[in-house]
Amino acid sequence: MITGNNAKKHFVNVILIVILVVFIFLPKIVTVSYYLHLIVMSLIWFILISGLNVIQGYTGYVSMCQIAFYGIGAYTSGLLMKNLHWGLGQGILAAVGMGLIVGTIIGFPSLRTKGHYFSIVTLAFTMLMFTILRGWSGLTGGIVGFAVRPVSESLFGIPLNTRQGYYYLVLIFAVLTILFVKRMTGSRTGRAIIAVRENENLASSIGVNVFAMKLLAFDISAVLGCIAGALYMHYVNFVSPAGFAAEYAMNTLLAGMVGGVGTLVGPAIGSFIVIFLPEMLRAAALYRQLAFGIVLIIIVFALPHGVVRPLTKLWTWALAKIFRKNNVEEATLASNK
Amino acid sequence: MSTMVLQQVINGIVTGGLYTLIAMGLSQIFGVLGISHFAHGSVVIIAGYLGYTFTRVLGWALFPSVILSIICCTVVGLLMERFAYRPMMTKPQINIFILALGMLFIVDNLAEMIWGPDPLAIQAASNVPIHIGPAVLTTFRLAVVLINFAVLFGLWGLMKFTKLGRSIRAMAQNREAAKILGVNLNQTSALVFGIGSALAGLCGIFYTSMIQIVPSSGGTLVLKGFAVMILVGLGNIPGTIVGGLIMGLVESLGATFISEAFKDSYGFLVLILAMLFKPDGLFNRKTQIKY
Repeated sequence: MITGNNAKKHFVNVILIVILVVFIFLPKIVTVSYYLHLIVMSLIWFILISGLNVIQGYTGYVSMCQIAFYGIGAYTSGLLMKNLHWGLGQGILAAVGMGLIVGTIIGFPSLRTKGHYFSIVTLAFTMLMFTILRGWSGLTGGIVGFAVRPVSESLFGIPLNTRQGYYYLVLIFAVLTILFVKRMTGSRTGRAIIAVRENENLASSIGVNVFAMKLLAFDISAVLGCIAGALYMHYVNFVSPAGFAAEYAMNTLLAGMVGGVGTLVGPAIGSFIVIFLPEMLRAAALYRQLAFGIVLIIIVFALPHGVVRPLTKLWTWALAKIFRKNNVEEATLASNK
Repeated sequence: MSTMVLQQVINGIVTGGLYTLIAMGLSQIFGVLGISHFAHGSVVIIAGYLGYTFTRVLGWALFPSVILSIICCTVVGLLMERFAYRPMMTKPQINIFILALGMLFIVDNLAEMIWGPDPLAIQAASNVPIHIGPAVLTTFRLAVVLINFAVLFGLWGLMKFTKLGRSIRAMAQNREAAKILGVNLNQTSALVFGIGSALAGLCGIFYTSMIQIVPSSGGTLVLKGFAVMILVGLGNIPGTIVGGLIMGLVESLGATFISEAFKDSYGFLVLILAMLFKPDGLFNRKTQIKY
């Protein structure tokens, strides 16, 4: 049996490496620049939604302010670049710091509520943030926003102000994010966070500091959101408050739900769907936003646990077929872990 | 200076009454069904836009138009309860949340397609200014305040003294026990939605007459309603009135004395601060809150 499991593990690893290699050579495969743009946006959204996944999927608190963190990250690094001429690296670091600070400030009051209340309080924070970004025109440029010059750094000799170069930067961050979330959820802290999701009272009775765990998860979500925001800012080199309005809080929630929260790959699938679907619906032009909303709601209701669950089932089934010796139940157990 | 304060306090009381109207429906619905009914904002703007269409486009008289638009949006609320929420009651909570938000944004988009993105307003029937000391109040605004209080007083009586009120309170306390004791759950929740939507419709009409309506008003207003609801705690009618007034006063005073640009944010700031010190609501009397 052990050999069978090992073979399976190797097989999974090989597939992961193949996927990574495909992603590395993607700019060579995808020749239409516009599609590469959508892929970069999807990867940035993947980082954003992974943050949401930590608080919503693993901690069980449906946060509506991920889009606000996205905005905070974008404005922080953008303003530092515009006013103090900071570079990309410093901008991202500053966004991380800002994420920690704002996450803690907002986490303290909002995490004292539960369930719908938490969602509504965080949605209120998103509205608050939007009003500040729009209203503080002296600093943020108001409703018009502001532009910054393109980044001057380069990565492995590819300048980052090209779409290809930036793609690799975002890819590195996305891979780091997925590794981080995997390590985090497998660690002692991650198990404590999941225990909070399952039963707060029980978790606290076995010595888990429930509030600290919730705050930690919220901070992680804030930091990942801010990193995604900073990456977005230096990709498009322009920012305005319109992209961080409450409607987009809905999009983050949907990206999480469509993919399936509480899993590693769910946010990836969800982000690609949320970025690509509106483009597919271009034919509907005027009704695009409306059609997008309706289609997504249908997806969420047809697949209440996201598209990942049927995919996992298929995957388990395929693995069982390939390694015939193991029965399906064992494979199911392994995939549920 | 003091004139300005007095004027802003009056304005705050007038707009605060509107927030109370919304929060009242939201609070009853949340208490009875545990639904965060975001589409309540849609009901508000539907009433506002219908009122505009009846009076300004079709040129009908004010009073029948108002009644008709309130009836229409009550029907919309009832339809939402019957065909959107009720089939979903057995599904996970988060799906209901998404459904509610989804309906809000869909109605927003539809309203923008039908009535366009520009702000619209209903001409108020009578706008004779009344001078209260140095401050000014129009007769229409005075009527709004009086109607608000009359309606809320009626609602309080309904909740306190009638069989329906007892059923609603019973359902909010314990759904299962209420069912065993013969409360018709479906009928009661439909009535709660009906009453809440009628209040929202009234609010939509007032809002469109006093301020202006744009498609995104629904989202902003419903969030302020939720802010009031969370600020005071559930199922507390006098508390909700006070909460609405706090919200209105903070906004109008903040807009005048701090900055007009952040008008929408002061109320949310108060909410976040209140969460820091009283997470169960300002006037919480150990009512059972079903999350």
